[in-house]
Amino acid sequence: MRKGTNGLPVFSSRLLATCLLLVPAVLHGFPIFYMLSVSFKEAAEAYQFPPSLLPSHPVLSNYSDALHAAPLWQFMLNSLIAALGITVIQMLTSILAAYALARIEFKGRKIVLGFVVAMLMVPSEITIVPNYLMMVRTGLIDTHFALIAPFSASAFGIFLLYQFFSSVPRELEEAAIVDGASRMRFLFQILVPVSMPAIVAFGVFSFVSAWNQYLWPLVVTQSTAMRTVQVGVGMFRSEQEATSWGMVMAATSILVLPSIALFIATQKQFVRGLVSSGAGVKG
Amino acid sequence: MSENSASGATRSAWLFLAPALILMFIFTVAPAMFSLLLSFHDFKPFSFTLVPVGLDQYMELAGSEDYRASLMATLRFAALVVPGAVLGSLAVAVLLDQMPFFRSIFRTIFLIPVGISPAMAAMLWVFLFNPTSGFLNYLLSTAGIAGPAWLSDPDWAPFAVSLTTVWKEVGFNIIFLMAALAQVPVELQEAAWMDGANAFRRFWHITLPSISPALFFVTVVSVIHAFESFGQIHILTRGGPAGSTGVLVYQLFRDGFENSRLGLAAAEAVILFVIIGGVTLVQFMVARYLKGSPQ
Amino acid sequence: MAQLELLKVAKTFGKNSIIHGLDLTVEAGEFLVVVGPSGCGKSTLLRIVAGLEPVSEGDVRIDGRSVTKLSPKARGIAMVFQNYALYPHMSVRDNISFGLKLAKIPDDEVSRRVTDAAKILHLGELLDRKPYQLSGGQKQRVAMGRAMVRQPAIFLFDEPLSNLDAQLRVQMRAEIASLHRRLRSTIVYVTHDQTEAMTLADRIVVMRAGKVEQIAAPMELYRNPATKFVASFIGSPAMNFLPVSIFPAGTGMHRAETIGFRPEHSQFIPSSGTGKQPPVVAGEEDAIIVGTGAVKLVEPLGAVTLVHCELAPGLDVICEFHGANIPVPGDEGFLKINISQLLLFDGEGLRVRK
Repeated sequence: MRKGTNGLPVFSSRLLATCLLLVPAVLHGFPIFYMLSVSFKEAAEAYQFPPSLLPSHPVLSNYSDALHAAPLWQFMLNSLIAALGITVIQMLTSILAAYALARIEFKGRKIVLGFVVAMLMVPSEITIVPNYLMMVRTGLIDTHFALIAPFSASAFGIFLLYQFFSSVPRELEEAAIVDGASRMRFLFQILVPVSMPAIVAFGVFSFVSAWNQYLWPLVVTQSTAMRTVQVGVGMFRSEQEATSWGMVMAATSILVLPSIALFIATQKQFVRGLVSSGAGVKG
Repeated sequence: MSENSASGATRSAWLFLAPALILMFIFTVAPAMFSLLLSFHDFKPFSFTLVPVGLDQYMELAGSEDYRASLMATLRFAALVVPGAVLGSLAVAVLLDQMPFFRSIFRTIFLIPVGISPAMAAMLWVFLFNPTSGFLNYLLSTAGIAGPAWLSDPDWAPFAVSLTTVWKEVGFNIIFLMAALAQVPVELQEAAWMDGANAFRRFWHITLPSISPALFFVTVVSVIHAFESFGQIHILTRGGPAGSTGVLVYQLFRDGFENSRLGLAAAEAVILFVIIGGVTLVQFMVARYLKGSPQ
Repeated sequence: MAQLELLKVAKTFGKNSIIHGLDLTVEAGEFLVVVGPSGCGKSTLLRIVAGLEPVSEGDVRIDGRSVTKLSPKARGIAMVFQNYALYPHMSVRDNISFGLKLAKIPDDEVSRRVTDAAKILHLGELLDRKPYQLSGGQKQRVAMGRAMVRQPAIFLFDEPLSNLDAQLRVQMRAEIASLHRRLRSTIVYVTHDQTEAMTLADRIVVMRAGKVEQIAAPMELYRNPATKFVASFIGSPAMNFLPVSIFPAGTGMHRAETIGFRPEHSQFIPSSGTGKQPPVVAGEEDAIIVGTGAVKLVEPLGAVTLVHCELAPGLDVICEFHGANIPVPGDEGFLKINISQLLLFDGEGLRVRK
């Protein structure tokens, strides 16, 4: 890129880039915008051809219809419980394990580390069927436990935190030991606060990933009451021509909103978690 | 250290590791091994019994037209998604690298779809694909083109699903490529500019080689995501029409959870594991190799 | 304050012996400095005393009680680290009181000790700041405060000043010395800087390659080094060493292989150009002319001028110059040495007594 005398790109190239980006950006943002637009349209207007960009007489009826058609709040609650459960347990187990790997000299350390890295490369498809059978067998199918348990440990989390913990100077732990702290105390009162950026990034990334899961919740929840947001939204997908698209879009809007809001709020941490997940290992 | 012996340290270490390791063993290692075992058995769901069938299920897959169609559908899907996701993200990343105005707003717009699930992405697009009232066909009609029945035409369904997938995944690639672009040494660019190279040549000879590791990485990730796609397909096309979008994971889902042929599904899972594991391993090794080479 | 004893302490890592069977006693209230080049094992030794590193052999005793199997907390020691090791997310006050709170010391006692330490170390205004807001010297003082408030039996310092700039180092040295005078605590202080050792210590332990070369008071080390290594390590500018062959026969020195002498016991006398040796000066009967050399470098330090001259190819000597006309590089001159101040060393580097 051409740079001016101060090292920054020249104004004209910035302007050009801005204009060129408008097209893909508009196209990219369009589906979300259109979803919102359709959600406020009256039933008939929704499938008129040619379709309008904006509703001529915005209505809220689609939203109330959507809320009546399916227990949307229940879906969100289930997703919340599952995602929170997964995130919290993942964080706890990963913090403990990463600490041991990073800071304790013990026999077999390299093997365990290798094991964790190997786990990173295992795709989830290979575990679905047996985990499903396990849930059926134990009668835990269609429960929150089934949504949470199989994902409660994260090799990615362990690896990420291991790298971060390793970079904290050894002297800090020694000072804590001399001060009389036990390992646990050092871990939770000093190492964790010091590592907050990495832990939060992992937490956000973990939560969003859990929230967005589709295949496992589809397979493991059977009653409508236990469905998560992702599976619940699929219930609005119908093959019929006479679908009330307005209501479908309203339902989608409601259900997608938490994700978008959370994403915008935690963008920085989410990106950080995203980048770490990619750096050198399976994304 | 706070233990005065090596064995004390080892004991502590295993205690700290136990929760994570136990969970991983129960829910990842053991199931993976069980899948392998299961693939050699016919599983009777009602009686929960295993009937050994050796390699029969693998042979069935090898000979199955459905499975081969599924493989083709997956490959076609990957062939549509990957170039789109990589080239599209490269173009956007290059533009963002020019420091346009409203840069962070643009970035957010491209990144939001990454934060929503495949299912949501599908729901957002399903109406757009509607042949009669969908906006996509309307846009095409203004250009005088009669748009197809995106989701019910076997020739076009793969494109529809690919489009949704690219829309959703491009943001991820953009982030990586932006980071890589930011690290291209400015001096090289300036030297080339002073040597009279125009923007295209600078890009081709300097920028591209510099970001090639990131490009490679992003390509591999896109390939792996393509092989693991499920959510958007389940919602948009249910694997149809006529199996045109029935990718491998979808086939697994159908065989295992719709047709209750869990042994067969396990065999499919093993095959998928080998394919994906192989691709991941290659990526891992190449990434390590590239890290050792000078940038 | 307590007495520290190390009995036949040895440490090996795999096949490497870091410390070889070492015996040491530090008296209660003594300021002991362990000094030596990098890799000599001094830091490992300190960590063994602290309990951060287990011994491979031997015993560590505090006030006669064996602590070898005890954790650092149980030993009653406190340590000041080279990189301060302050808890980054806690305020200065919390950093200092962390250990006390862990020991379940009542709050009013904690705040009393913190206030006292802050007063002594001039940390009063910094108590609510975080470490990243502090300068190097301030951070080091906080680290000292953290150690101090625990009223330990033994204070350990691990190269605490090596990350500070020269001027700050001088200042902190004085503060540490005054702290010792005030608290009368037993201190074990590790450094590679012999100046710190000389100025702070009651006694110095010189270590090399895991072994003790000599333990003595600073001036004793300076005047009576037991080995060539100690002689070369202690004292700045460093001691000069000449092979005995340089010296004229008949001076009774040929039991030794190497002769050492300090710059302040030697002189550079510029040649008058006549080729004649300078006359013997009254009161300098012990001094002899050893040879001639060309000046390579002159260091006018104000109180004294040092001259580096080359006696023979590869044989450089630092000596003093007394006179008005400071020589310049290239000048020729005579090297005069005070024989009575010579130190003789044999082939192994051990001191040979006259």
